[in-house]
Amino acid sequence: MSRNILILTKPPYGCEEPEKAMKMILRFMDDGDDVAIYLLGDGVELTKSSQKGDLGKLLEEIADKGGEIYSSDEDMQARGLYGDRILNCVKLRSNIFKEIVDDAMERADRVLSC
Amino acid sequence: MLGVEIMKTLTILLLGAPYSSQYPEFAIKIAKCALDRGYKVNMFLYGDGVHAGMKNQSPKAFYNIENGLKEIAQKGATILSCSRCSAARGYVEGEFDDKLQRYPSSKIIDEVRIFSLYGFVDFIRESDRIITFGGV
Repeated sequence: MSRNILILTKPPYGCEEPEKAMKMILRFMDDGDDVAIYLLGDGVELTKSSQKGDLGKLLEEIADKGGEIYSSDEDMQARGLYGDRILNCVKLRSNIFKEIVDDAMERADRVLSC
Repeated sequence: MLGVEIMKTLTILLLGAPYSSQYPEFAIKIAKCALDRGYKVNMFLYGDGVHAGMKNQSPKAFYNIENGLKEIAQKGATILSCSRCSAARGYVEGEFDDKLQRYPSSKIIDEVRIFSLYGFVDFIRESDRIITFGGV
């Protein structure tokens, strides 16, 4: 079993990478891998609870199956995302860069980014 | 064993241009955290990422990328910039300087060394982890 982490910075619905990356993460999980997603920049828009598209559901599916979802609190605040405007599966992080470094250098076997 | 802990190395590949994307800012913030944790940090500027090394940047509202690169270089990061990408964008002003181990440029800060792509190959060789920011 290996640990794969994904740093997601691109906006959902604006391009296809977030969807592709999440589907790949689900495949890793099917193989029994440990996964974590770090949302940064425009990537945090994936956490909106009001979205009608399917990408938020994909994120929840990853969390339901045991994936860890972390999002940059600073980037969320900048975009007015807080409280009931965000999905429950998301864990807010005030210093997400420090956590990415710790995870990437000491725990993860593979670091992916888009 | 001697019990000496070997310093791990992180290489950051930056492909995104400053002020048109947040990638240079992310790259610098990751680099700072890694340096503070005691890791060795390399950064390679490629494609539009080479613009990050330009002198005299003065953004009004954004995080100043030039200052960020200077700060991480001061903390010990090695920053290389792809020579072909730099030449294509008009930054290279002469032949490779063997003594300084860099291509000359009056437009790029001293903290960033314009070097061949083989510099990135060496970074890959010595790195425990590579994180990429930007790209199409």
